[in-house]
Amino acid sequence: MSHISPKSTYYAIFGALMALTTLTVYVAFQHLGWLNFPVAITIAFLKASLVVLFFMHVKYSSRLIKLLVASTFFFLACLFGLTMTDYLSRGWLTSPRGTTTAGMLPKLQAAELPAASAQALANPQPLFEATCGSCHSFTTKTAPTLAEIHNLYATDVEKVVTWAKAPQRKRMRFEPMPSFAHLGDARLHALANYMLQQAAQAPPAP
Amino acid sequence: MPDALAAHAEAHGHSHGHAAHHPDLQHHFETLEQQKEASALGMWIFIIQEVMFFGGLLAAYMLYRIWYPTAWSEGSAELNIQLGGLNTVVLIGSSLTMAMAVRAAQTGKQKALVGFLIATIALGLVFLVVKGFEYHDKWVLHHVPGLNFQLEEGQVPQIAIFLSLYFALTGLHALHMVIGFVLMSVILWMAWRKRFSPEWYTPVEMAGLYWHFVDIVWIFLVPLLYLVDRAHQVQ
Repeated sequence: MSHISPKSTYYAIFGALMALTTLTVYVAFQHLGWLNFPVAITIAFLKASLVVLFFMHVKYSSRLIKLLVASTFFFLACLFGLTMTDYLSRGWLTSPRGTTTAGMLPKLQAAELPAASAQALANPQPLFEATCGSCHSFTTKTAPTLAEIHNLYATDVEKVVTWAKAPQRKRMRFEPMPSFAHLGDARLHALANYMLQQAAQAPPAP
Repeated sequence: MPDALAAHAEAHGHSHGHAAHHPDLQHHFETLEQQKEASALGMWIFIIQEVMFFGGLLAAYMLYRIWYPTAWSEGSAELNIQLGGLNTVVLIGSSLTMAMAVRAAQTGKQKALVGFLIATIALGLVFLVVKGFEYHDKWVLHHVPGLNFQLEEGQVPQIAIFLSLYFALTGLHALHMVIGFVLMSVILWMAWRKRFSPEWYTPVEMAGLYWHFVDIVWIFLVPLLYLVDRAHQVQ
């Protein structure tokens, strides 16, 4: 049963593993955008396959062993698939005010945006209601309240604008915030000013 | 060999009418091949649950990487590619010597077997020493979440998550190396005492499977930890 591989096979596999290691480091420094990660993982799987097939002798093992080794992918797919479908879809839940992160975006894009001039933005309230205000209010439970935002930023309009353009996700209890970069700097500044002014005022009596 | 078999049968009181057999063949197996196949099957099931063990941490890694891409990029930039790369060469080298050790056992080359096992253990120790230097650097730089953590800029709490996963993954990997070191020492001792033959070398092969598995874990850890977003980082 035992297949004895020639020494040359092992040296060749070692050489291939070294070459692939060099390749993965080289590729990591190339600008491939989102492709960097899939390429790195593909090379890692290639290397692992060489080790499994030749160093671990699976190429010369019984069908039972081969099936068993292949089943690893099935179990890993279950682990990653179930975990990710759960966590990554949590932001899709409908929020109490009838909007969802996913459903909100088309609504906003379809909404008529006021011109970006100072005159048109003199009263940002309608725009605020259609954008930030659909999640952020004094009482909201789906996103940080206006008071909380005011505590964080006080009068730092720039930070609010920066955040709105490229939001991160700091608090796991809230849905991730979508980017509002498409509104443009002028509108975002007007919105941020308006929001911080509103937030500075006492919350309305319940 | 027939004498040895007879002596074995006598020593174990095997006079109850069943045929003399290889001293390492357990009674519940028909042949040595069947016995080895059963061992390999058990070893592979163990390795698959090890994959799932690391898989849990890697799933956490993936989720946080999707949530905090910037912190992952900033955190990875703090790791030392040279040391990570050196350890990759060392560990893949030890996999080669391990494969050669199994081959030496298959072909009954006693001296080569002992030599390759010593080389494998030595390379494993080099890996752990390099890892030790890396951990020491992290400690000096205050990059150890929970014990010694201080960062001036970047998404500090999220980078702490990245570094926690770095220590959890590489730490558990290093623990597997230490266990492998103990395992290899036992195999070396058995090889030294000429316990293996081309007919029976199952422990060498099973220890080899474990060693190669630990190598594979490292093959995945390097791109996941050391090589995140290197092309797009501000130099």
